[in-house]
Amino acid sequence: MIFNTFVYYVLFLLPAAALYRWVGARSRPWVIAVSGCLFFVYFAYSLAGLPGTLCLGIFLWEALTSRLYQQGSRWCLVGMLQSVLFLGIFKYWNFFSGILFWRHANPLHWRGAFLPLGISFFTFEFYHYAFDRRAGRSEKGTLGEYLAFILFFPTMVAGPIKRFQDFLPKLRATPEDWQHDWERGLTRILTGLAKKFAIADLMTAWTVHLNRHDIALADRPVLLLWLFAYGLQIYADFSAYSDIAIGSARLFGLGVPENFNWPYGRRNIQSFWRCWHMSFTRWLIDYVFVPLGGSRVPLPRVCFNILAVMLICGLWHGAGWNFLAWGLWHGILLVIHRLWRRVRGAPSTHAVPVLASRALTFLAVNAGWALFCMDLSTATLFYRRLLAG
Amino acid sequence: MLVICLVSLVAGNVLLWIWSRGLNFRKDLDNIQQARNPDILFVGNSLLDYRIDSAALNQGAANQGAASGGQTFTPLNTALGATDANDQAFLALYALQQHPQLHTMVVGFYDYQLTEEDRVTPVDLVGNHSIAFDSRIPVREIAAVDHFDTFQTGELLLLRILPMAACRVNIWKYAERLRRSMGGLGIRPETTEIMGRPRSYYVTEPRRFLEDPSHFDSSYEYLFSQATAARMHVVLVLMPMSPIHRKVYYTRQTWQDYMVKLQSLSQQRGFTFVDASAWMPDATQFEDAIHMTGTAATAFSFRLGAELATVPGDTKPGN
Amino acid sequence: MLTNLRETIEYLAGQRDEPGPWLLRTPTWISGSIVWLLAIALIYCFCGQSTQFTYINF
Repeated sequence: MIFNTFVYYVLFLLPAAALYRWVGARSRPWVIAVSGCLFFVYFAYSLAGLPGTLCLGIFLWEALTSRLYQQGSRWCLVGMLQSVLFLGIFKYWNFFSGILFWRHANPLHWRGAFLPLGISFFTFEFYHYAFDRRAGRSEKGTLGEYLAFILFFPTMVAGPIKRFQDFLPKLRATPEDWQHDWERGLTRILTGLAKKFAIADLMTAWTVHLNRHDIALADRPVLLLWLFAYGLQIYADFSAYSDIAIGSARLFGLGVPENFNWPYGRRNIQSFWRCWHMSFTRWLIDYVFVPLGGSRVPLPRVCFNILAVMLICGLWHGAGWNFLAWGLWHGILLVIHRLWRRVRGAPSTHAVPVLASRALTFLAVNAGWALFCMDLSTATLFYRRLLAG
Repeated sequence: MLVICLVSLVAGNVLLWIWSRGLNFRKDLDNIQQARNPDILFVGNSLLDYRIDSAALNQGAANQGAASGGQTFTPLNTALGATDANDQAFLALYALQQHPQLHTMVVGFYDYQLTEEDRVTPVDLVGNHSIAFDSRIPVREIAAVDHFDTFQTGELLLLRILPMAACRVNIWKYAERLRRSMGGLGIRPETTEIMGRPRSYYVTEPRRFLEDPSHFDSSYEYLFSQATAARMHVVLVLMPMSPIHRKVYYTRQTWQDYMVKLQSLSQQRGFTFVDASAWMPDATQFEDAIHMTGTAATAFSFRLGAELATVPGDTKPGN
Repeated sequence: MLTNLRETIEYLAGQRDEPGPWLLRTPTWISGSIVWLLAIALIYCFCGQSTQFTYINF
């Protein structure tokens, strides 16, 4: 990946962050925009060749169309639609066309399909900007400022998903205590890298066994070990990436949203989702759940909204039935929690129920990881072997 | 804070450099440097590593009587376990550079080793592949053998300067052993050979070579071109394999076809080809499926000496 | 106690700017140096991992 290469630090982060500090206020957004373009071209080329590189045009097109967004404007709807289309075509074309031609050869199959670098994240930032501009919740900003927002390379590849109205004031402010920013930023980057290598990568010694062949051969208790190892790996991996992104942004003197807040050990699944991939959860709430009616509608409709949001959540993570199943699992857990709260009222504060609820939430979350990391048939084999031997 | 870290890093670099002086590939390079007038060079991996008995080799040659012309050998064995073609090429090229009087190169191989292409980047240089970090191997040679582009060559240069990068292998092996012990928990271990590679690994098919049998692996090609330029005679030895390995893999049609094409290519190049795969018919002569025991290695050396005695090795002027 | 522990870890990891109650009296350069050296050591020891098999012959 990108954050564990020398090139990221030596060629992009350190020079760009240093230059950002030295130039004047008017040039700062352009430092980010230009370095973001170079970053995209470099890494997109190494991942997907020339077609990947040409996807830089998506950013430039979006930057131009964004100049038309105004409060209440239909151009914002166009902007939202095109973000969804970009994501849909690149990420889901083969999946959905495969469903249309179920059990037959897919004539619409896109053989050379590839994913533009960071598409799952930058399309969400495009959508947010268009949506909030239409709702009058976000300032327009200059072209340079918007380019800096969408091309800010520390968050381009794996988030956190930013909000323009949070980013803009920080971009306009003059960074003051750069020594402190660099000390804190580098600390965050180093601890993120340590977490990635010493925990996440080490766990792959176990999680590499999550395949049909090894699941069939392993002792049953070890299956549980592998499942928990995956839970730890994905948390350490993703939170480490967020740490590095946030630390990198700090070198510029810019703050970006936190993404994780000790999610394991939360009392219930709702708290878990408020602490796991927080920028993404907030995005789903603001741009999917609330527009569907949120919690202000009758209970059956609320449950439907929750399930719809979590199915989208699952699908966003990957174009596959197993991801939909994983999303559905969490949707069901959230619905059960909502119904439980309605019946039982406020949660208990006694030690035993608190501990029990934390343990149960931890187990329920980890139980779902098998769906996330394996295809449906392998995951089914896994659960069958784990539960029935 | 920065000063403390920099001082600690410098100290760490120095300590790691001192600690890493005893690594196997460094010892191999030292042995090459210190060898006295060798005339025959052995190249290979763990199959040949510590498996050339000099006395037995010369006895075998002497046994040939008149056919050997009284030839004796002073072997230099650069074979090193856990190496690929490029690593073996580096060691052999270093030996050629240190000892221009070498007149014969014997390359021990097994399966599709001579023709399997392996692409390496600076990041892959762990284990014994870190031989590329040793300052005795010229960077241009590494770039030529490993096909590094300018950027990768620059990366290699940078890594070589920093002992913490160049000597990382000593620390790396502990993390790797931890991973392997973790990975082995709760799952029945597959039978492996003594170097740890599971037996199920040996199922690759040499499609590329069967379609285009015009060249060896690029690392060996580079090595052979240097040997030919130095007017050395090249001997390719298919190493003794255990009966089980021969039964499972060498009875396949793919292997038969491969051997025909490999021998034909050797002949075109003017190399001598020795098929020693069946020299050790007894399974007790092997520590696992492919590595000979010490006793078997002596017997192998004896027989190889007899074969080499009939090879025209004395082709260099002044020898 | 758990809150204090959490705040301390977050500060040491660079997530928080204010040191928790346990580190109020510890100079920044001491705690920072320890964290940096420990992180560098962990990165150094574990950064060579790969699921690709490599022989260990030493």
